[in-house]
Amino acid sequence: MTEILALDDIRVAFDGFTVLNQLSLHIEEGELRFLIGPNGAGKTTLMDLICGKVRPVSGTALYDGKVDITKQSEHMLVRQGIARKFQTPAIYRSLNCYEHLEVAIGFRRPVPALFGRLGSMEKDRIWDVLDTVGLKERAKEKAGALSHGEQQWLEIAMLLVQEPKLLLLDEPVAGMTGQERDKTGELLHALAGQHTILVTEHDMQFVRSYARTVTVLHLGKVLMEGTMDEVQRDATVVDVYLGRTDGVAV
Amino acid sequence: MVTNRIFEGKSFLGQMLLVAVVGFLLIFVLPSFVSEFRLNLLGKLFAFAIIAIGLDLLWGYGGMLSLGQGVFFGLGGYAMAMFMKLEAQDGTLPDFMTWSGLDSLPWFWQPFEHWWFAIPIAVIGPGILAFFLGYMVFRSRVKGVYFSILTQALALILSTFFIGQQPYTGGTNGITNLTTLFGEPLILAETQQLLYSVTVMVMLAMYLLAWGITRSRFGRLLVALRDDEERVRFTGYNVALIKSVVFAISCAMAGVAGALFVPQVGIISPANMAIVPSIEIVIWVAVGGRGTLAGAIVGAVTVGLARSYLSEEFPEIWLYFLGGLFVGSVILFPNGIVGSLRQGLEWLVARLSGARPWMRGGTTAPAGSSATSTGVVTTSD
Repeated sequence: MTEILALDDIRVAFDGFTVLNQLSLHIEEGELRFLIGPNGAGKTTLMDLICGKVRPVSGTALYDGKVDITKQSEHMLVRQGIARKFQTPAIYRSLNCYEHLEVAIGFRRPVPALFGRLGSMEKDRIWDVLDTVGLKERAKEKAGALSHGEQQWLEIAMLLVQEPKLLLLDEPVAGMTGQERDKTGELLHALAGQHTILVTEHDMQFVRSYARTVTVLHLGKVLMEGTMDEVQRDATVVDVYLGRTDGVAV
Repeated sequence: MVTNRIFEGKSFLGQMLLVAVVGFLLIFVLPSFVSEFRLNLLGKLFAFAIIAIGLDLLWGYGGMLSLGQGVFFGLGGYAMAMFMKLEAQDGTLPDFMTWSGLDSLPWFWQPFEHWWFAIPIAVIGPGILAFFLGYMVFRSRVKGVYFSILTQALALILSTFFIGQQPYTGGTNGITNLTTLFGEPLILAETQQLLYSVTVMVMLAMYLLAWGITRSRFGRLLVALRDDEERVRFTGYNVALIKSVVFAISCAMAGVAGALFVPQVGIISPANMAIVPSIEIVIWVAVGGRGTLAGAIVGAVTVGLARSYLSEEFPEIWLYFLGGLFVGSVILFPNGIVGSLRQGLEWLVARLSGARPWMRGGTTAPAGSSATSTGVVTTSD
């Protein structure tokens, strides 16, 4: 197994306030990794860092063994296989589901190619992905009319159609019903292996059911890494996070 | 769905048919019903409609409000005027240059004596300028009102610059006394009618081009940019590049309009490219209906006709009417004339076919979906 992501001694600061501090994180190809931590731990900032949205003050960030994340523009990182789903679903209200994937699938093409038609293979791929996330029947509906959970799926579908290597999913099940959560969890398991997936999640029930390896963030540092069982038994983790009554059920 | 076919039909064939019919009516039928003066006015308004189509692509679809389209209209106009001026002078130095003390034609004026240079540059010039200006602006992630303010500043800067360069641009007066185009006197009714026909054809061609763009994946990308620029960036697109391309297309269309406008009026001046005309272009699109290409044309013609009528009837206060029209349409009909008509028709069709209007589209949202969308949104850092 090779390492797809290697972050070492990363420091990120906003206006002098340190958000990530000497953070190191290594992820193997094909892994399904959950990222948990109390509010303000730096989970979203870490995702922003990996997709190029924020730049570190110091430290090294290597993707796929060779790509220096800190030196590449956001869209180039996406083209090399880093896909990001945002915390609140980022979708295009006035486009329908099918059109979302049409936009997403052409991302490596030069501008003139965008005036041409899609090939039949690409069309098939779009329909496959729509089927995978359960939006095939609603393909021609405007995204603004979808429920919150469906919008989350639509955004995930936009990533999937691009066949990324590394998926960054920021709270993908927020706003989903129990049934939808289960379906998403199963989807994550099905995707892991072909893709590497990094998920942040607040819902402990969900993490417990679907997590393999968990990384706990606290105050911008990695507090601990291990299986959910190990993490739950760890005294410091319980102390800073699980034991707290900050709205997270134990 | 019926209304869709009428306004922005799904098929290219349908659009071609629509354009052919409209073109036939405008070129062969209309001229026999209106006076020479009105036909000339309409010719100018159809040239304006081309800028409106371009701005609609940029603003209605791409969400970028430019308050500087007049600049690119002016540049196209000046390129055409330089060609026509040299033709009118027939080898002698343009009058304003003589007055300003120049004794030979400046080097950058020289290529404009050829139509094959002047006419393409009237289109490509504004396009290239817009692309590079746009790329610098968009690369710095300038957007929204800041983009609008920058483009407005551009209108001020360029019109002031053109006024200041009297020996080269004719200063405040602009380039005047344009008398012929390809040897045809502009004063003749036949020449004007020919110009009118050409303007109608070019306008319809631009409409088809814009329609094709909005129907392509590039068009979807435009709408995507309007809805969520960040998502587009993290979908792997070079957002600055895409935006610059639209800006360039839009401004090239403004250049086309300028080149068609000048021979119809025989003059171009910095007043045509200043802030006020740039804002008027925005009014056309807003009144006609943002995001509907037909609306851009309807808006430019309606506002133009209203302006002409009101300025004749109420020479003192007509500008207030124009302002009122803008404010009124934005408040009462935010979708503009065509947008509101379309909504009304859709409502009517839905009513007649028995379905409730808010259910159109066929499928229904699952019960309780609105509850889940607001109920359990967890927050994080």
